[in-house]
Amino acid sequence: MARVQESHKGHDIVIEEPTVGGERRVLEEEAQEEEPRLSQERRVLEEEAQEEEPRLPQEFRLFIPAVGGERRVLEEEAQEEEPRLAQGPRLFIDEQPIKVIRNSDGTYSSEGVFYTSYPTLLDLARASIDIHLPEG
Amino acid sequence: MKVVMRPNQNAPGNLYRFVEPVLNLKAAKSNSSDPNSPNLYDEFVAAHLRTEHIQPDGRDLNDAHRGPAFFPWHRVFLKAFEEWLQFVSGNPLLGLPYWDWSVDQSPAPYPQPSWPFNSSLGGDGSSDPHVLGKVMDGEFAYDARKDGDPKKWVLNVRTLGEAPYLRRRLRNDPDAPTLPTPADVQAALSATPYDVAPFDDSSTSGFRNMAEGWIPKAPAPPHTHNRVHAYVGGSMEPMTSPNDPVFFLHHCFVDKLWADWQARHPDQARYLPTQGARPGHNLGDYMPPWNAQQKIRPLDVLDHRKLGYRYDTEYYLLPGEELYQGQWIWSADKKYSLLYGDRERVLWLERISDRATLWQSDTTNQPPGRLFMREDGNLVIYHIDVPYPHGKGDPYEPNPIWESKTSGHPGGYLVLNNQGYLVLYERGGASYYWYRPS
Repeated sequence: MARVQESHKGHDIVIEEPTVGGERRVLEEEAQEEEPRLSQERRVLEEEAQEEEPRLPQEFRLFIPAVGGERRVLEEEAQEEEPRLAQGPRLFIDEQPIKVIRNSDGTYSSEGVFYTSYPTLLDLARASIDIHLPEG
Repeated sequence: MKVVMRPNQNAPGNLYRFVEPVLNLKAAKSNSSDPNSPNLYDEFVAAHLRTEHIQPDGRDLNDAHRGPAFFPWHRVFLKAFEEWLQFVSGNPLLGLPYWDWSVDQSPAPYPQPSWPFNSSLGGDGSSDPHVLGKVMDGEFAYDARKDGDPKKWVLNVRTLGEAPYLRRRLRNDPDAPTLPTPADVQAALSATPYDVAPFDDSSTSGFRNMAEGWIPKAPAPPHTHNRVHAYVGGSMEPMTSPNDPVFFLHHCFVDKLWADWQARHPDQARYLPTQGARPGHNLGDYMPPWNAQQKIRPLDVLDHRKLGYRYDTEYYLLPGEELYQGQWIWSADKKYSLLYGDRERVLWLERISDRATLWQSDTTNQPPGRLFMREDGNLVIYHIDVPYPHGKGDPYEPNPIWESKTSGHPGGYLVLNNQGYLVLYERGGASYYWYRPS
């Protein structure tokens, strides 16, 4: 685990980043092995979808309040896989943990700065302070 | 079918008609029998936040962003929101207004800036470091209402560290000091196809990733849709961005971009891919949270007109569509309008520059009605109480208020063209069979 500590405009930044080693490679290989199974399922769905006409819901208004009571199928699948996934980076600003997002292109965003991506975690941390916090 | 018109928010009254029902949504419980249930507005904020699924390794398997479902997911989200606005306002024709942010920084020839941050929606946030970004004016300012007022704009759904009050920091994000330009919009609208592999934020071309705003990649600043979030700043930066009602004006324009892109590229698939994207993002996948009960797929929402709304820049009426009193169609260049008057009950074809009437339906003092583009090619004003057959053919009334008397042209449709003519075209548009003024 690599650890970086810095101060920016009076705020403390701590980054903890796992070092990439053999463990992640193994996990990625496992993930690749699973792909054909997912693709096959998708193909079935798509063939069905193409045969079907679009269905037009009569009333969208009913959709949103029902959200809270639903279990999310995809989320359940993801949770099953969780223990096998590698640990991602962790970021703290003034000891508050920040939910970091590792984008597909290798850049970083966060739950709090969701619509912009940054080349490094340090860039993300500095931008989060610039955008959301007064000078400390 | 009823077709709601979504107007530019800058036209008089549109923002007012939006703000009041939004406040009513904030005051309404999502479960009327449970006083502790969240309010309806917050349900939308929570639904948007729930699209995020950050994995232990940092990847976000997001249902609504960074992938092809970005457009259809938000289309369903906005449609549901719009129907709630219609419900709480008692106005079934209320259309979400859009904020065309691309005109707000442009020099002439864009005469109608679309700036929404006025006394109603509120302006920029405070620069006081103790309440940095706090919106101090307008209907959504935290201090505009007393504690306990159900319309008080409290941010109940928050990400870690967010304040309970609405925040804006216009132009503060150093990566987005300006709004996207018309050239940015045109660049996105010119991009084809809809999306390309690997169908995520690293896709290097395609309309979706251009318009969502991940091209070019960091360290380049955010673009198009993303840039507007960053430009407004404050509460628009996190995943809880619908906390700021301007979110809906912004995304209404983003939805319009998808409709405009489809119209510009009739030879392109309206959505891609059919396979190869992560679950929830393929054409036939169900989109969470509508995957369990409602089972909505991108496939189901490709055509916005079939969902019962149109944008004010769309200059036609298709078979089966209706124009209600008080609604209008503009020509594409917005120099002419066809209005079905809500008092005079007359169809007016008007040149906007000098309000000159070019043609009218001569139906003054008739009872309330609605204009219907029949599937047999006849354009008719029916009495308002004539039943609509709900997709099973045309309505029937032996003595309608007015008609073009042009049945026998199945699939014909109405266009208001840039020369100021109201034209009925044959299916496919190869020739016309009726026009006014004659």
